[in-house]
Amino acid sequence: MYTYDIFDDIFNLRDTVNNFFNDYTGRWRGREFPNMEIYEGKDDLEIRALVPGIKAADLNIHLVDNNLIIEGEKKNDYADNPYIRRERQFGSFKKSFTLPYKVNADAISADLINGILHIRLQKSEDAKPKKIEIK
Amino acid sequence: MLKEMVKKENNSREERVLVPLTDIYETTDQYTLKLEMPGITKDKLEITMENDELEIRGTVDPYKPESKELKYSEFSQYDYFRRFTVGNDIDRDKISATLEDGVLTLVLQKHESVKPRKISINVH
Repeated sequence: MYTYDIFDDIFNLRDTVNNFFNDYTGRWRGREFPNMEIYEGKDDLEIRALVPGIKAADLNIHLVDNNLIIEGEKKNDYADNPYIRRERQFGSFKKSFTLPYKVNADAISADLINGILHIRLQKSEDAKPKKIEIK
Repeated sequence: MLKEMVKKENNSREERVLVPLTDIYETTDQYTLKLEMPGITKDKLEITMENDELEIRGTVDPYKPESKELKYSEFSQYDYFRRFTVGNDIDRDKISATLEDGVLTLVLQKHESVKPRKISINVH
C-alpha cells in the first residue's frame, strides 16, 4: 500500500506530457469507429477493421451500390464494481464508405479474427482494366 | 493499488508504441484489467511482473498480404505496450490472463493479508 506522495502527481503530469504524442488504440483523432485500412490487389480488395471485444453476431456488413456499410453494437462489459480507470468505449456504431471500385456483390467474404474484421471483395468485371485496341 | 506509467524508452532507444485502452476495476479480492489489443495472439503477448512493475507487451507483425498494396489506413501498426505500477497488496504469484476477441483480461489477486476481515465484537 502506498501513502500519498506529492511526486506521484508530478510524475503523472510528466506522463501526460510524454503520452501526448502516443497513439492509443481506438483513439485516432478524427476517425469514425471502427478504424480500418484498405489493401488493393489486382482483382480484389481487402479491408481490415479493428473491432476488439465485438462478437460476430453483433456486426452487420451491407453493400449498397458502391458503399460498404459496417454497423453494429459494442456491448459494454461493465462490472458492478468501482472503476479505477475507464477508457474503453461502448455503444452502437455505423460507418459507411465509398469503395474505390465496383465490386462483385456475390463474392464478399468476412472473417472476424482476434478482434480484427477482414472483408474480402472482388472487383467486378467492368472495374478491371481493359486494353483498348487502336485501329 | 495500481498506477500507470508509460515509458517509451526501451534500452535507451526511443520506441513508438500503441497504448491499449484499458478499463480497471476493483473488488474486495482482486483487480481486473481489460486491455484492448486487436489482432494480438497468445504467442505474441508478453506479460511480466518485475519488482513493482506490471508490463504488457504485444508484438505486432505488420500485415502484408501478398501482391496487395496498402491504399488507405486509419491506424498504425506499432507494438502494443503499457506498464502499470502495482502496490504490494497484490499477490505476484496469482495473476491470470485470458485473451478473447482482441481483449486481454488480467486478474490480479490481492494478498490474503489485505483482504477485509470482519472482526466480531464480543458483547459482555
